[in-house]
Amino acid sequence: MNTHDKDNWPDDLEALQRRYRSEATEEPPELLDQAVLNRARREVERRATRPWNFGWMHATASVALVVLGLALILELRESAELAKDHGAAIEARDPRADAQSVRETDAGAEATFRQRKAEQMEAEQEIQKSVLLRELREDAVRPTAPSAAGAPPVVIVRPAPPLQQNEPDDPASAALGDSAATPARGQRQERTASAAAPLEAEASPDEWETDGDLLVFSSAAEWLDYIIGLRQVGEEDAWRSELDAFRQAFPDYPVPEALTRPDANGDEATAGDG
Amino acid sequence: MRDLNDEELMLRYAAGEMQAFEELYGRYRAALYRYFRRQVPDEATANDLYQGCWEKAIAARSRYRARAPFRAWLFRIAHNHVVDHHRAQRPGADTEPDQLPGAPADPGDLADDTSRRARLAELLGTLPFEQRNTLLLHFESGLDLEAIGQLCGVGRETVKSRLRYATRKLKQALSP
Repeated sequence: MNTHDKDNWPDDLEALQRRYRSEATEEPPELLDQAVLNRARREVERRATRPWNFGWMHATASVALVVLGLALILELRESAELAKDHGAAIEARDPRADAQSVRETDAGAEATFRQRKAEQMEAEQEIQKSVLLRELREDAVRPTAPSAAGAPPVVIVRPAPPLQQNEPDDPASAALGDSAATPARGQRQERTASAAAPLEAEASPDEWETDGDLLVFSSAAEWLDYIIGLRQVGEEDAWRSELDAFRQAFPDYPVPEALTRPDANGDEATAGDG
Repeated sequence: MRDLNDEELMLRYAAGEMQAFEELYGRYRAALYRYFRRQVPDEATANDLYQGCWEKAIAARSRYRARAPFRAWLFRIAHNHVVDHHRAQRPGADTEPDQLPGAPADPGDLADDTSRRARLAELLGTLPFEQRNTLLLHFESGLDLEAIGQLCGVGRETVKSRLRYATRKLKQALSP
């Protein structure tokens, strides 16, 4: 190996380059030149026909995208913080306390409701009672012929109870008419022996309604006398029912012993409370 | 236009001046054509590669920033275009062909009555691709060893080594 040649390779390379430049004379054909130049010209013309420059549009679009992205991120962060605070407040509350408070609230409301309902029912009952009493009074207060002694008008009107003894010659009926339960004043309508015979007032029959059997008592005592009379004649059902009605109408009125002592069967006269 | 350097002309063409490109094209058309002509055995393929290279340069004009010399930018496109062509011709191959198809395997096989131009061209075809390509870049691009190394992706010493081996081989083949 020639070391001189090895050390002179740059000179050899330069010699080769000179030879290459002298020999390499090729050039591209003219058609190829025209093809390249036409291509370059079309690119310039194509860009010139565009009404806008994409350069600034790209920058503007990029900036707008960044701004929108930041706004969206901030909005999401605020929403997340609000949701976090609200969730913490909900979690901080004791659910058991909430349930207890709800139960207490419900119990109190229910108690109030029941109380109001009971009061309402009582009021309604009072109203009904007052209406009934008013009706009773209206029925009872009928213009009657004044007695000779100026006695007060009749205050008690009762439908006659059904009697077991319906024969006109029934000795009980006769006894009833002879009983001591004779009203001292006022008028008294008694049921006759015939159940079909309506009672008629001895005075002012035109002022009374005769749509049913009616008993008219001028006082509670008179009514009691009538009841005693029913018991004496053996009208068990009748005097018991009348006594019950009397005690409801006059709960505080003393009932005579004749109506409270047991009967022959040992049954005491009972009546509903009131 | 003739007083402007290559970088200014390319920037002007990127701005839309066609005359700038015509001037630039006139400066590099022959060197680039010979570079491609020595890389492939037939003229038609060389023409296709040549036209394709310029089309790539035209398409990339807007991205040219003159950070590197225009010639380095242009021959980088040309080098990559050649490499892509060889790889397309030999799919699956990791390296470019050492010798051009049709080139004699031994420089000594060349006929004695072949013209000097033809002999040198044929001798270049006998070199391996790396040595041939490096030698052609040195002959046609006017770039220094450092720039050639950056273009090929190798170091300066590798470029020197390739040039030395190519020179020795051609010298031996051309010596009487």
